[in-house]
This record gives sequence, structure tokens and C-alpha cells, in this order.
Amino acid sequence: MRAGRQDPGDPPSTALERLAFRVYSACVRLTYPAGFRARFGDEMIAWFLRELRATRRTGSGVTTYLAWALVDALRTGTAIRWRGVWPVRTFTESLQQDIRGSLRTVRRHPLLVGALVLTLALPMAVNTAVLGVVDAALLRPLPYPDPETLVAVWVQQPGAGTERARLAGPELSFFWDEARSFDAVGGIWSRYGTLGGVPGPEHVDIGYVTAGFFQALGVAPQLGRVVGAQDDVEGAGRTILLSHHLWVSRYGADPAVVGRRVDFNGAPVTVIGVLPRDFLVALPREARLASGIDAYLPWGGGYADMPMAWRLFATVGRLAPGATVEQAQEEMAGLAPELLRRYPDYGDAGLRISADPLHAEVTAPLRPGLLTLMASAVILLLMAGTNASALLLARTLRRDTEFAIRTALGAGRGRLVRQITVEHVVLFLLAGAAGMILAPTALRWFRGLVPEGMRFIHEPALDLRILSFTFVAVLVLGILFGILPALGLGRRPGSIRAGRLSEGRRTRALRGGLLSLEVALSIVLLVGSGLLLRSFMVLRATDPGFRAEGILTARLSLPSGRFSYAEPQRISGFYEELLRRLEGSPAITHAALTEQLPLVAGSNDAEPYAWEGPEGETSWGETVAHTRPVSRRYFETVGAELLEGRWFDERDDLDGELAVIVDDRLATRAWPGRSAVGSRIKIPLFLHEETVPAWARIVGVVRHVQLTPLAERGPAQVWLHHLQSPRRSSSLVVRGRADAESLAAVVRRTVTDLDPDRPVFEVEPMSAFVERSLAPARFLMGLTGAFALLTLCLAAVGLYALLSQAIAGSRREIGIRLALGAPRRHVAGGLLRWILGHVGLGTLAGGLVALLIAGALESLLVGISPRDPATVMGAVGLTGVMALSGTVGPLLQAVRTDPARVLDDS
Amino acid sequence: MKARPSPEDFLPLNPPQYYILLALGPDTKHGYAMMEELQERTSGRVTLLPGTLYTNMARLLEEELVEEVDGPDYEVRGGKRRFYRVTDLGRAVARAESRRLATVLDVARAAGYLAAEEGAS
Repeated sequence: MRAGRQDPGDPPSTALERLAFRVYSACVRLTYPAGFRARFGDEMIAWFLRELRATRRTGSGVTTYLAWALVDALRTGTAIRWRGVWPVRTFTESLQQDIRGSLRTVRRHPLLVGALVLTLALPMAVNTAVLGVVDAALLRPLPYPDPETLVAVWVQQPGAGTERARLAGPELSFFWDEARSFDAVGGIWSRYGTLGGVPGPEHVDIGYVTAGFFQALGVAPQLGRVVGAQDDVEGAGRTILLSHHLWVSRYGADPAVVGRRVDFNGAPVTVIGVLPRDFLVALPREARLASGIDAYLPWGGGYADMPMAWRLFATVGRLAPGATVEQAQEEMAGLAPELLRRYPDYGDAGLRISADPLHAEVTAPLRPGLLTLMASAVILLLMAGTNASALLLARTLRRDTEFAIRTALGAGRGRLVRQITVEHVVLFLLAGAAGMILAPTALRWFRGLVPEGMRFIHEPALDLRILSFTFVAVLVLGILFGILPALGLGRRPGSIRAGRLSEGRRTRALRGGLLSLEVALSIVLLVGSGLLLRSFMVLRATDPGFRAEGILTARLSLPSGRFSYAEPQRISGFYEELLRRLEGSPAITHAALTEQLPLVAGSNDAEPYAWEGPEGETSWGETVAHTRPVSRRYFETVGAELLEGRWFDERDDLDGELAVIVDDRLATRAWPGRSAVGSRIKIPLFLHEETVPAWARIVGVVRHVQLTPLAERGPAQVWLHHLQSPRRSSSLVVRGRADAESLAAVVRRTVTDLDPDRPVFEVEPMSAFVERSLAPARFLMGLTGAFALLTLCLAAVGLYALLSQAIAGSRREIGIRLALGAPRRHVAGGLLRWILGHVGLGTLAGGLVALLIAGALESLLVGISPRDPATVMGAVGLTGVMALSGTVGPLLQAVRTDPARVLDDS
Repeated sequence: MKARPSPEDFLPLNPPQYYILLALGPDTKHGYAMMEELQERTSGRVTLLPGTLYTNMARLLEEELVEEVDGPDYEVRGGKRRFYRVTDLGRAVARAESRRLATVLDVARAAGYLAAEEGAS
């Protein structure tokens, strides 16, 4: 200890010192972690006192020093606490240093940042938006409690070619009684009906449910109760459960509506409850339910005695606690023989029952399309990343001098690589942030493009999960594509300026790799979108068997409760009179009736039939067809083609022999090489509210009218005359001399004149059906096509940039070779070989990957193989043209190099 | 096994750490004496606030540029006084940092920011 100095261990002497000491000690206690305090606290305070005394002993000197010491303690203390580690590691801090450096780069190079954001932001926004859609449609769980214990139940009759058919009443009742793996099993069938009374007749979509339906889904009502066992028995009082939207729109959200009697299809029903706002029926497409059911009615029991041909009930089961899907499937398989034994109606078609997880079933139809879309978006993003990488590589090489200095000052190569990578990651994150800003707009845009027919379980939204996933993805992408240019840095930075002829091998190889990657990515996406485009063209060229132009369609339904439509004659009488009046209108040339409008039926809505062949009658249930009644001039109205025999005429009424027109598919199957006209066929005939098998005479053969969506090959068809099997619900098709709006007005007026209580609904031109049928394919083809085009453009830009860079990098070498007398074509040839080598490599890799993954597209393609050689060749050709056009400029530039100038420059 | 860090990994040192290494020099000192020495050598131009001094000392200890050694027992307000010494690695780092700064000075001279004799010692 030197003399003359105060001992640091001395306690504070003046009052001011004591106060400062107390304040500082408290501050140390509060700011530093205990471990740090235990080790250095005393020394710090001692040092504080020593310095305090060294200041002039004035009040202001003490205060100023105290203030600085406090700020210092707060700063260092919070730094230690905030970083959570003590002591702070060098890595973290140098990382922070790198990040600060990157932010400086951002500020100083707005052009570079702009170019990167321009390249990356849109693909990132697109990816986030597509991910939002995929999440809503495929990933999020179903909106029911314990959704993983819900299964969809279907029957399969391999002999009849039915897969995943809905259940018939007896089957449903059998499972309800016998299946032990389920807590509840319930079915639903949707149909439309009319609500009467104030404020006027309204067409509504109704879900007829069994007692177990709401129990299985686990839905709690908002008001009253849901449909339960007491409602679903024969003779129970008729009840109705309202959806939230109907309750609001028709009943003004009046809670007192529960318990009230309302008019449904001309008969009173009692409102028992209201469902919650967010309730929806998420069942697979094969359930064939209306898209927004307005109200639910109990079916009313009697399932065991229903005809087996009425496959109405889309069925959902809730697994019993502890039961697994496998156990349920096993039990179903075990129950099938008992069902077959109990009901002879199955014939020889066999029976299999499947129970599959509901979520997978619901999402299955959207899965291939949306995953393809996601994959295309990812390829687009990878392409943008490759371009960004090329851009950053060029910049990294330009900074050679800077790195040379840093190396001279003691930075190792690893340290430089880290610095460069961190910079690039920061730039990627910046572009990612721009992408996040664009993402909601992209999502809204997508949402607008999604066709009506593609139903998502949830509304797509960008929540925190999606944004954080995107953040991580951008980070990974940034590291991946950010480290590449850093690796392109030679072992000894600075060598380029130091007189080397051309860039290092490492840089060249990296450029070549990026070039191949660009080619490969564009080929993969072009093959995919090319296949979808060709498939779409096949679909559009498909002859649907009718001409949709100029036809207006409308639906209407007659109530079963009204005495005036109690008998078949009354129903057909109403419709015949309607058609007569419509055809009497000067605006309308043709008016007809059909039970089923084209392009909307499901393949599984088919009914069994049998025919008289050379070996006698075929077995009932082994073959299925769409059996649909139409009015006399239906085929003429829609422009269908008669191949043989005659259309329906006045002979085919309720008193005449049952006459049918079959389609060419059925005719060739049943009577190959012979005329079908005059032969007999057994069909399920619906008359007097029941369905019985009946023999009919074939009077004509018509070309298949596509009833299922265009992409599906529907079953055969049997057409009946509506007078011989009248249906309450029918669709009108009219062709006329006026535009759709005027035709619609005529139809509405004519129906109201005839029966003011009949609402006409779903009035639209038949071309809308064609459009809707094409819409999902168009949506997918359009978006992947757009992504592919964008990718191709990016590839062209990237290729051009990479080649220009490569040529600029070897400019000196080229100049010297030319100066030494090498012919220009040799120099050009060498470059061309390098380019073609990498383009070839990319083509090969892209082609292979495309072939490997094209199989995944199979379910989306119509009339074209996923390995269609023409499409693959087209993609390769297009990429080749793109590569060539990107090559010519830089190549010419290289060949025209003036050796004198190059040598001058160096 | 942990790879031995190279002195260059620590560059550039932040000024407080460099000062601490300079102040300790070849001797074993306690924190208090160390800082007095530094102030003396720089005529009071360099002084460190306690928080800055001890967080940086903590860092140097963690990085093994400085180590704690036994010294004569001396109570600081009831606690034990600690003595510190620069490690071999610390010396190498201080040398490397000094060389780095010398290069910077050379560059500064070449750029005309510093007269030829200035800063040369």
C-alpha cells in the first residue's frame, strides 16, 4: 500500500459519502445477479468509495460520480441479466457484432437490399399464404371435442363396384345396436324443404339426422337441446333444430323461438333448439351434404325396416374411451357376415365396412391438390433463394479487398465465413419481414381464387403458429443460401486483386452448382404444372353429352305434408301444367324437368339394376346405375344425342308399360354388339312413397350425359319418364330466346302463378355447372402455372446473372489467352462446354426428380400419365430455350473481349 | 477435448479489457492496486467505473486471459481481497491486440491522420 492514500476499506466518513455508499450498494444488490455479487460486489463497492473520494470533495462532484456509477451499474448489470448467461460468451457477443455490422450493410446498400427484397419477398409471401390455406384445410383439427376419436363409416360392395357408399337404415340401426367400439354412431342425410308462415315461404337445406349424430359429434346447443333419442322414434312429435344463421336471419335471433311451432313443408314442427354459431358439419365429400345446412330434423326411427337400396346416411362414429381405429375396423369386419346373413338384399355383391379417421377422410379430396400447390410454392421460393445466393456471391467476391484486410488484421477464414453468413441471414430475414407484410394480401388474393366447391374446415388465417413457422423457414433458408456465397470465398481472400488470372476453383464450382440447381428447379416445376395444364385441357375437351349454352336451370320442391301433393298424379299434374305454361311463354322454346342436374351427382348415389341376358337374369346389386326421372323433352332441351330407338312420348304414362332410356355405357355392357332396344331391365322404382324393384322395357339409347363432375367417370344411366315415377323435388331446365335474367323472371312468375307457396331456388345458367366442375382443376392449374412462369422468369434472370458473373470472373484469363493467340472459337467453346455441362447436369437431376415425384400427381390428372413424355420433353425444351437465351449475351460479351483492354485494366 | 483458442479469436479486444491486461502487466495485483497503476500511467486520463471494470474482469477470468491467485490475506470490509495475474494466453492476446493497434496506427499514418513521429514509441 502506498502511503498517503486512504485505505479503501475505510467506511464512508461524510454524510454525503454515506448516502452515496448506501445508494450504490443498494443499486449493486438490485442490478447484478447473486453469483456476480458474491464474487465482485465488495470489491466494486470498495473501488466506488475510492473513486468517490478521489473526486473533489464537493457536493456536485460526489453527485456526478454517483450518477455515472449508477448508470454504469445499471448498464452492465442489465446486460448480464438480459443475456441470461454469466459471464457473457464471446460467441454471442461477436454474433451481435456481426448483426450490428449487417444492419450497417442494410443501411449502406439500399440497392442490394432492394434487389433481395424484390426477389424474395413475393415468394415468401406466397409461401406463407399457401401455408395458411394448407393449415386451414388440412392441418387444423376438426371443430369438435376430441376430434381424433371421430371416424367416418362407409360400406363397400366390391361386386357392385361401390366404394365408400353411405349407409342404409338397417345397417345404421345394426351398428347402433351391435358395435361396441363406438360410444355413439349417427347418420345424416340432406334434403331441401320449405319453411312456411311469416315471413313467407323459404327454401331451406335440411339435415335429417339420427339420434346418435349430435351425440357422436359432441355438440352442445346454444339454446334448448339438440336432436336426441326421444325425437328419433316413430310417432314422436315432429321437431326441428335451427342452425345459428337461420335463427338470426329468419327469426331475428329471438330466444323465445325455442318451443314455438313453425310450418315445415306444410306441417307444424316444434323448434327444440339453436346450434352454436361456429357449428358446421365437416364430413367427407362422399357424404353428399348441402354446403350450409339451415336446420336439422330427426329422421324419425324405423331404420331396421328401411329398404337396403336407400343408401342415405353419411355416418360418423365416436370411438369408445380406449378404443382404437384398428379395433373399430376389426369389429366392423367381424360384423359384416352377420349383416349379410340377416339381409338377403345384398345379393352377391359382398360387403365390407370401413371406419377411418374422420379428419383424414374430410381432408383427403383437398390433400393432393393443396400439397401440390405447397410444393410449387416451395420450389418458387427455392428458386428465389438460389437467385439471392447468386447475387450475394457476386457481392461477396466484390468485397475481396475488405476481407483481405480483415484477414491481415487477424481474422480467420471461419470468422469471415460466419460474418458473411450472418449478414446474409439478416438480409433474408429482412426480405422475410417484407414477405410477412405482403402475406395477408397474398392470402386474401388466394381466398378470392379458391372456387366455391373447395370447402375448408376453417377460415384460412395467418396466426402466430404460421408466422413463427415461416420465420424459422426463412432463417433456415437464409443460413442455407447465405452460407453458400461465403463458401465461395477463396482460401486466401484478396487473391483476385493480387494478380491471379481468374477466380478460384471453389467459386467456379459454386456458380456451376447454382446454375444446375436453377435448371433442375425449373424443370421440376414445369413438368408438374405442364401435367396439370394438359390434364385441364383434356378435361375441358371432354364431351359432357349435353350443350349447356343458353340453358337456365332452377330447382323447386313440393311439400309432402300438403294434401294437394299427396298422390303421384297430383305431383306430375303440377309439373306437367308448369311445363305447359312455360312452353306457352314466347321467351321459352324448350322446358323440361329432371331429378338430377348434370355434373353434380356422386358416383355412389347409384342404384342397383339387373338385366335379362342370354344366361337369364343377372344378380341384383351386382351392377349400379344412376336411375333418374326426366320429362318428355328433357333430352331435346339439353341437346343430348339419341343413338337408337326413341325419346319418351305420350305412351309412357302411369298406365303404360314402364319405359326407360339407357345410356350407351349400359347398353354396350349388357348387350355388347346387339341392340338394347326392346330388352328388359330391372330397376328400383320409386312410386307411392316406396321403392320396389320393377321390370322396364328399354325404348331408346342415349349418349352418356355426364351427371358426375367432369373428372369422374360416373356409373351407367337409366332414364325414366317422370310421369311413371314422379318426384316432389325436381329441377327445371329451360332454353329460350331471351337472356338468363329474363328467363329466370318468366320461370319465377309462372311457378308463383301456379302455387304461390313454392319458392324457386338455385336459379342459374347451366354453364355455371360446367364452370364449377372445371373450377378446382382450373384453380390448381392456374396457380401452379403462375408459380411455374414466375420460377422460369427467375431462372432466366438468375442464369443470366450467373453466366455474366462467371464470364466477368474469367475475363482476364480470356484476355490473356486471346493475346497469346488462342482462336476466339476455342475460348467460346470452353465456356460453352462449362455452361452446357452444368445445364445438362441440372436437366438430368430435374428430370429424375420430376419422374420420381410425378406419381404423387396421379390422382389429380385426367386422361394423362404422370410420366407423360411430351410434357417432360416440353419442360426440358422450355428450360433449354430459357438457358440458351440467357447464355447468348454473356457468351458474345466474352468472345468480343479486347485483350489489349483487359491487360491494360490489370 | 476443448480446442485451444488462438489469440486472434479474441480480437479486437474491447478497451476496458485491454486496459486491464495493460494495468496488470507482468505482476500479480489486486483489482484496486491495478486500477491505481493504470490511472497513474495514463495521468488519470483512463479510469473505469466499477461496473465496467468488474464485468470485464469477470469476462477475462471466464476466457482465461486472467487468473486469480492466492495473495496475502487482507480483509476488504470483511471479505477476502482477490489477486489477479495475466495468463500466457492473456499475454498472447494482449500482444496480438497491441500489434493490431500498431498496424492501425501505421495505416493511420499512411493516410495522413497522424504525424510520422506521433504514436511511435
